[in-house]
Parts: sequence; C-alpha cells; structure tokens
Amino acid sequence: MVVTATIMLAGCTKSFDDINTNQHQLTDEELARDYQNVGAFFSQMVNRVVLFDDGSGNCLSSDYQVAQGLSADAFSGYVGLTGTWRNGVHNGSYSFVSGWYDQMFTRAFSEVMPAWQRVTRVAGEMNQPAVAALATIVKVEALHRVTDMYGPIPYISFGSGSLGTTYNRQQDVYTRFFSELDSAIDVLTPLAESGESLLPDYDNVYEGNVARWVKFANTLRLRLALRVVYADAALARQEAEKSAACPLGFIETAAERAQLLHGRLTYFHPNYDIAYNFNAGEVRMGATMDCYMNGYSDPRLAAYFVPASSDNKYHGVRLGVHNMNPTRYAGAYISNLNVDRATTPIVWMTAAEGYFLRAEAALRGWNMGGTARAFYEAGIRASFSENGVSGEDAYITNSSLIPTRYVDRTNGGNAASAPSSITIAWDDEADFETNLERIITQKWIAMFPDGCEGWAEFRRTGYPRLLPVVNNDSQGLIDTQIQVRRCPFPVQEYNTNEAAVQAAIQLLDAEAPGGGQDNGGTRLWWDRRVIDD
Amino acid sequence: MFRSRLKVNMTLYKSITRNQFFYPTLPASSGYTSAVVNGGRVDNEGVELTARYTQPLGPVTWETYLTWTLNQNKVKELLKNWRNPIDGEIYNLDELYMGGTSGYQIRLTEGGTLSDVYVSTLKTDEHGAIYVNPERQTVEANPNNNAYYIYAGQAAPKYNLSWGNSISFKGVTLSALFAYRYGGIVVSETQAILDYYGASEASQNARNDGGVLINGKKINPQGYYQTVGNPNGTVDSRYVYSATNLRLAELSIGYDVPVYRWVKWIKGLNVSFVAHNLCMLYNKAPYDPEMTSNTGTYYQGIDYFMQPSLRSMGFNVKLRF
Repeated sequence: MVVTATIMLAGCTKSFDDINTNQHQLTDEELARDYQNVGAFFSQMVNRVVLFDDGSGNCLSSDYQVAQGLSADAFSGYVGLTGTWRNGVHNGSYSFVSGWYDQMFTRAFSEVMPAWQRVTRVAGEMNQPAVAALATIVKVEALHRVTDMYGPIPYISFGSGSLGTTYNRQQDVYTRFFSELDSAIDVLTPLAESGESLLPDYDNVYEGNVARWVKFANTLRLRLALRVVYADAALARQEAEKSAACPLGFIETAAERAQLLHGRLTYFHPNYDIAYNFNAGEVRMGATMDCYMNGYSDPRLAAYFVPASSDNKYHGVRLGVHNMNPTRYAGAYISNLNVDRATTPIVWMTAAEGYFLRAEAALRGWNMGGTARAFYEAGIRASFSENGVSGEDAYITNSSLIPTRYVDRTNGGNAASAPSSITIAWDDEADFETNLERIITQKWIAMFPDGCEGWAEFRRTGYPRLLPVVNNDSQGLIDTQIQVRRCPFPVQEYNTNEAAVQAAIQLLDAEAPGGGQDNGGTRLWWDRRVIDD
Repeated sequence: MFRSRLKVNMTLYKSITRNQFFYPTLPASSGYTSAVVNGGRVDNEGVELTARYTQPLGPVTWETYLTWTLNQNKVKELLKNWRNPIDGEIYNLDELYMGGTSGYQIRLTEGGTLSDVYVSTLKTDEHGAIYVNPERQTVEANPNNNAYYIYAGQAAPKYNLSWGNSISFKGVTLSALFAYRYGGIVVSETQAILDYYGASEASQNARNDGGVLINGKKINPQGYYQTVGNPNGTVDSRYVYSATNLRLAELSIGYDVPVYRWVKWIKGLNVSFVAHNLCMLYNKAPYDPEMTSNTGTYYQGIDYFMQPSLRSMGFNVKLRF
C-alpha cells in the first residue's frame, strides 16, 4: 500500500503543469508575442481620451455630452446647447446639473488610468520602456483635460487600489506631466530617429509611427508649458525651449495631427449623434463662432457648419437661453454642425495648433527658431489645408474685417455687440496683448470643435473674447463677465470618497487666485492672469 | 367561538437574511466603479392578522372583516471587515446609497430600515435657522451631495389596516371596504417643480400673501420657490409628506336575480355595481401615497410626475350554470 501511494504522488506532480494549463486559453507567454498582452489596454486608453460611441454599449455619444459636450464645448464658445432640458436652467446657464459634468473624471480614472497602470506594469516585466512611454503620452493627453476641468485630481496618488485615494494639487499634477513627457520623449527619440514602429496593430492614432508620437508629445509639452505661463513663467519657458530643441520638432501637417483613424477604428463622431439624432438636435453653432467667422467671412465656415436652410447663411445660438423653442433654435434658423457620421475624425491636436503655440512662445521672446509672425501665418495656412479650403493668402493679409455683432433671429433681446475688434493680419507694431489675442483667436478657430482646449485657453488668456451667457442661474457663484472657470467635483466622489474631496477643496482653495470653493466660479492654479474687465 | 361566527387567523414571523448581495458604488478615483460583495444581515419581523365575524340580524346578514399587517425590517449589519482584494485594506461600509434623484435618496444604514429616505436641505445659519441671503433676500440650497442630506423617514408603512362590512338582505348585498395606512413618508418632486414654475396652488397663495414665511419673515416667493423647486436639484426636505391615509377602497351593491324561476338551466345570476378607490377620507400628501414609481426594492416613496391615481367603477354580471 505504501509503495503504491508513493508512485501515485510522484505521478501526480510530474505532469502538474500540463494538467493545470487550460488548453483552450492563451498563456501569458503566448500573449506576449506581438504585444497582445498590452495592445488591448493601449487601445482602451486611446479610445477613452475623447469619449465616443464605439459600438460596445459601454460608451455612448451621450457619455461624450456629459463628459464635455454640455460643459467645455459650450463654455468654449464653439457650440450652443439646443436641447430643451429643464427649460434652459442647466449647465448652459451656469446651473450645474449633477451628472452632467462627471464623466470626464469617471472615465479617466476608471478606464484610462487602470489601463495605463497595466500597460506600464507589463512593459516593465518585458523590459519594454518604449511601450510604457507611448502609454504615458496618451495618459498625459487624457488627464490634462481632466485637471483643466476640475483642478486638483488624484493623479499621482492613483493606483494603490485604495478606496480613499487622495487628490493632488494641480501644480504637482502639471509638474508630473512635464517629467513624464520629458522622459517619454527621451526614451522614444532614438527609436523615432531610426524610423522604428511600435504597437502598429493597436495604435489607432499613428499606426505605430514612433516619430509622429514624439512630435505629438513634444507639441503637447509646449501646449502644457504655455498653459502654466501665468502661474510659473520660468517653468513654462524651460519646458517650451526643451520642445523647441527636440530634434523631431512639432506636428505640422494634416498627416501628423493627432486623430483617431476612421479606417482602422469603427466609430462615429459623437457630435453627429448629438446634432442629428438626439431629439430635435441638441447642439448647434455657437453665437461667438457666429460673430468671429461671419465677421471674417471665414472660408472654413462651410467646413465647420451647415448654413441655415431658411436664408442659406450661418447663425449661432447663445448660451443660457431659457425656454428655447427647438423649431426656432435647432431648425431652419440656425446652422447645424457639418459632421459626417463615419468620416469626421475626432482630433486630439491639429497641426495648426503646433504653429500657433510656437507663435505665442516666440511672442513671449522665447527661443522657438522663428518669428511669431511666421508661425502665426503658417498656423492659418495649416488650418486651411487641414480643412481642405482655399483663400488663405487673402485671409492672412486682411486687416479690415472684424467680428460682427450677434443677432438672434427669434428673440431680439438676445442680441449682443461684437465681442472684439481684433483683425486677422499680423501687425508687428501692435502691442503684446493685441498680438496675443490675434494668435489665440485664430488658434481657437482652428481647433474647433475641441472645447476642452478652447475653454482652457480662453480661461488662461482671456481670448478669444466670448459672449457671456444670456441668463446666469449660478445663484451668484459665477460672474457673468468673468465666465465659468471650472466644473465642480463629481457628486459620486463626494458620496464615496468624501474625506479626499474635502481635502481636495482645501487644495483648490489654497492654489486658486483669491481662493474659492468647489463651484464654477473658482479659478484653477494656472488660471491667474489679471482679469481687467 | 361565538357559535362559529368569529374566525381569526394570525401569523407571526421573523426572518433573518444573511450575506445579501451588495453592489456598492466605488469612487472612480480608486480605478473601480463598483464591486459585488456578499455581506450584511437584514431582519424582518411582522404580524398578519385577519378576523371575520358574521351576524344574522333577522332577515339581514351582517358580515364584518378586518385585515391588519405589520412588518418591521431592520438592517442589522452592512459590510463588515471586507478585505479589499487589491490593497488588502479592511473596508467597512456602514452606509449604502441605493439610488435616488438629485434631492431624494434611499440610504441603508446599520440600525435603519430598507426604505429609509434621505432628502436634500436648505442652508442653515450657525443657530440652525434657515439661512436667508441678506443681499438677495432668498434662501439657498445646500450642495446636493450626501453630506448635506438629512433623514426624512421611512417610505414603508408602520402598518396597514383594512376593514370591510357587508349587509345582505333578500339577495341584495351592499358592501364597503375602508383601507387605512399608518406611518411612513413620501416625497413629491412634482410639487416642487410646479412650485418652481409658479404653477401650483401653494405658489399662488404665497404670491397673494405677499411672501413665504421663513424664520417669521416673509420673503419673495419667486426667489424661494426657484431655489427649493429648482429642477436641477429640488430641495426635497421642503417636500416631505406623511403617507398616512384613509380611503374608501371599495364600494359595491349587488343583487342575486332569481333567474332559476324562469330558466331552469341557469343556476344563478348576480348583477353588481363595483367602485374601487372611490375617495380619500384623510390624506396629507399632494398625491396618492400608495402609488409607486418603481417596482424594485428601493426607489420608493417618491413622486416625479407619476400618472394620477386611478378610480374605477364598473358593472359585473355573473352567470352560474
């Protein structure tokens, strides 16, 4: 008996691994071939920077609305909100609706950050720092949009799995962004210079082209550098000049711009659903866009919008209109968005922005390898080229056209005088602020419809000058002229992570110019330009 | 008892449910949105009593019947010592949010019940009185997050009682059923939103009276109602009502037509007029508090533009062969 038992035990451990390996499932080693163990997580990160309906049912066009469509996109002046919700008392009139501003936070922390954590862990095990660097670039792109919306976020302390993750000051978050971008660019530059390709099967932005990733990361670093210029000018200059010295340069052509490739990824632009499928249409051309683009007779009008069918002209809608009649504001009297369901791309960063960022940096006297004027004009040319329109030569030299006043064809009481008198043509004699307004205004037009960036740059610089809301229902929390500066922290965080949110409000209060509470009137750390009006 | 005229039926019960499913919402900042865990203990105890008494009074038969039901549930324990599988931290949950609107919420707490309603509140000053903004002369709502919610009551009744009587005389039967519900509260966001638009009787009265009485002073009704009735977050502590009500739940009169006298193969014919849910005899809520907007366990005791309560009247004809 004893002998038999021994033989059985020996036999038992001999083929232990074989018996306990699922024949129908891939092993970790098999997954490691062709980066299949990180690819899906990398794709998930890319797909959750800007939310869209991916057909899975997990993310819908309506999630885009409550991430940015009903907040940043509207606050940037790009679009007007034409849903008939709550008789007009909602985000659009500065009365924040709980649940209408939280997906930017929720998706980033439940889908982008865990995927990044996974990619960097597996990349570390495989000794593939380049893969981790790629994921880190996407993380910074996704999360700077989040901190720019709320302020302090649990960016650095994220990842322990704790249910009480603490928040970090925005200043510290930005410091981390810079160190992460710096090291990602350093890791990827040798690969980019030797023309290598990385994760081509999973990369729906650049199809594995590392050189383009480095250009994007480098341009993103310049974007973030300028963002902090009023809070920490020395840091801004240091990071901007690092970008200028990067041998791979910036994104400059339509092919190099950061966008989700339609051919590789089946997706619909969320604005298509929102403008054409949601009720009578829940988003339309914004009134500020109406003033600037009509005033400039901008050739890009037809690329961005569809003329109103009643008079074949372009008309926008203001924010904060109460009791909106959808047949008047979403129908034949207002311009719809020119988006195609299956071909309009989601753009993270335009090629034109790369030039406008350098124009501003050069205007500030930093070493960018060119003049502000040259970059400014190249930016306009790049934008015309990206949108497939012509007439840029006449446009660039026009020094007479200015934004028009706004007319509401339904309610004359909503009319507004022209928001600005800034002209298009560069003027070397003009003062710093005038030229800054010129650069940011053109950058704003070129970046349409990226509301997150448009709103952030408006808050940072004060440009373009945006029309105020018609009705301000913020109960005195948000100044109509100064306009909304941030979104409150998600209610769900209050309910499930209360202590950390209360501590975050202390951080917000401490780093906001003038202090403030968790509402739309409090300014972020980088938002410290002196507001004169 | 009483020569078989009284019948009493009583059930007493106590049940203990352990290791229920909980699906707590987690903070997104943890990297997770929810978890499924087993835990907790909920006790239910109650009484169901029915009594029926029949008394012939000469040619008339009088029958009376009573039903009394009482249930008490108590959350004895929620999540205790659950180990977070990621970081090994011990996690205790003594409160669980089971959904709601931006002003109303069902919250489970240890020692509470499964239908505890919490509601949003107005700002108060350091003395606990309602805060009135000195500049704009209006009240202000607290942020609609959990920290500012207060307990309003339980949505479930303390007990239900129904009492029916029927009198039969020579084939004619007249019966009436009264239903009484005692205890519990309901919240009406319909009322709040009607107030917001100044379309309710309450807002009209406030306009006619020259203001809403707050801390003994009248303030502008528009500012008041546009704060407490704001559709983006109604201040539901102003819209909590007692759910206690008494109604005439059923009234019927019927007649047994002696049809067998003329037609042999029909054994009986009864015609009756029946009316259900005829009228409220006592009700303090602005809607029928027995209506429910949801068939689930939670999300009870809230009215958000529900269809009105239904009164039905009809004729019955019953043939027996």
